[in-house]
Amino acid sequence: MPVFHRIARSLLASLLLAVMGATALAVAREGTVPALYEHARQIALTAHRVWP
Amino acid sequence: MPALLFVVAIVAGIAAYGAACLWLIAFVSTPLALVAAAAGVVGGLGVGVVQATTVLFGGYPRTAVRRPSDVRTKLPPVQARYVRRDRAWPQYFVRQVWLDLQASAQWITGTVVGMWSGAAEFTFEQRWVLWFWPLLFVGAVGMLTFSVGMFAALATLAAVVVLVAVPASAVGLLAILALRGADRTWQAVFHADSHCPRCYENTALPAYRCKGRHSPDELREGDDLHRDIRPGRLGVWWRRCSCGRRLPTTVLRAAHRLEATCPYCGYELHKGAGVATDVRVPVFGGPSAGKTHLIMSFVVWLVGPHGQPSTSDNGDGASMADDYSRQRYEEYRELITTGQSAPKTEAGKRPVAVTLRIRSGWRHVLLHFFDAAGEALVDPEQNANFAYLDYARTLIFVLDPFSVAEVRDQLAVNFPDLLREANPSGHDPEDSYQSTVSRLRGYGVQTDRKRLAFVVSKQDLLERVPLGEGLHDDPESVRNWLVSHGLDNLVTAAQRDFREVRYFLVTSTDPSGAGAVAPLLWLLEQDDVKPPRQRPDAKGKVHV
Repeated sequence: MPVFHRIARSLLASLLLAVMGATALAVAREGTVPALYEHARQIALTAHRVWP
Repeated sequence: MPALLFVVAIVAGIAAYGAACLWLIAFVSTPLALVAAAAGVVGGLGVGVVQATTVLFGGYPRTAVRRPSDVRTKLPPVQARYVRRDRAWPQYFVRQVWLDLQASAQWITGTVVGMWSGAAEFTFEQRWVLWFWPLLFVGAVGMLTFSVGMFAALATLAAVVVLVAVPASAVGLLAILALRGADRTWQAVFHADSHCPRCYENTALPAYRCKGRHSPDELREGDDLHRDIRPGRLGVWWRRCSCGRRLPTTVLRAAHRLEATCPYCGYELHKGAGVATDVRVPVFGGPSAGKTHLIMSFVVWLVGPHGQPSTSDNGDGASMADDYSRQRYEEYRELITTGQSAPKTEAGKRPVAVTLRIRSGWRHVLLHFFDAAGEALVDPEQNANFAYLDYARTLIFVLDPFSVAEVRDQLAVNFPDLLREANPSGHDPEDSYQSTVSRLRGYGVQTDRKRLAFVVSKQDLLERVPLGEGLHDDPESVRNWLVSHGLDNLVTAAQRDFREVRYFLVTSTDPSGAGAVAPLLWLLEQDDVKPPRQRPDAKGKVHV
């Protein structure tokens, strides 16, 4: 396969990883994961209050 | 009573199972589903990205690869009738990028479908797990979000591909148009195309031979030839031949780096074909009219009498362009320096062009002389093959004044020795002219767009008889002489048939070439070519 094909493929793979990395960083900065965990905990606590 | 107990037990069991399910949903499934959803998305994205990058790095064996062997069947055909797709790698953004995306989609979809079908199969085989449906719900949510994550990764890859491939294709298309335009503009401005010395076909797009390693089968099939070197689906600035060798695109770049061949007959063309100004000089006229002598004086005058290219300090000069032309030059020089007559041109042989390469400033010119036998030119069957006549911008018609009936009759009485020396053409000049012009018209050539150099030869002999008195090397004088000696019909026909007619009187055997080359200089004028020997010296004097 020609070098240009390999370069273009590497470029696309790098861009995909960059987009994914940027998304992961954005999610981490927004605190989405802790918020999700907190949401799950609140559901469990509410259920416990309703049905002790 | 036992029946009642059985019913109570059943109801109690159902109630207990329902309560347990509700408890599981409230305390386990719902919170876990949220965690599973998050983990599923992250996992799906991760696996999707890994699969996509694996495809892009060539690690997925099922990826379809568009190879040089596929281009003839898997790419749209080339428009030109004589061009078939060359064996070269297609440009990445033309097809392969979409095949990579397709392979990624195939792998990711396959993984998701496999996961769901596996889960369904397991549940179908192990039906007892359905009792734990609140927990299965967690798994289902995880699988669902995992699938969403994988498709999100695929969608991201698709977005990246579209964002890169579409602008790249647009830029590539613009570059292709610009580069093809540069080729066409150059060729139009400098009258640059290529002309096969053997089959006479004319093309703006020579075929180029790749010098890489090709199998005997490829060589036999002509797969080492690149018949459409223009920028396109096989590459914008470069292309990669099936053998792996990198080749330049555009005729402008390929002309001096690759070996050009005729796309019709495969004969090797001259270096620079397609970008050098291509001037064809077809000389026609009756047998023994002096055509060969005229070409001899052109060639020897341009190259010089010593066999060395007449180069100047700045590298300008004229030289023979190929071995065949060098051989002809040696013969011409020998004949001219010893004062011998040229042997009669063989009527049965197709003329091969005698080609000179002229460097004039930064311009390169290929000048082709075609010398067909007069007998062949007047024979419709033979002259039908002389396609070189069609492509010339200016033609040279040579008329032997001693073949004019009135002149011949008068000299036969008073100057029989001179007439013998003149070896007059036995063919009627008007018929010689009409044979070629009719052939041109028959092939749809618009002669009214071409110029004609009407050359009266054997000036040195004509000057020795009273008939030649008052005849000077001046177009008007020559024309008047022709009209006054019964050739008014021929003169009228020439002026009607051609856009411009200029009359010349020459002595083809004059080695100095003073007057003999005047038709050539007039012919080259149209292409703005100044032969090196015509250029002014340091004192501003032009050597003709």
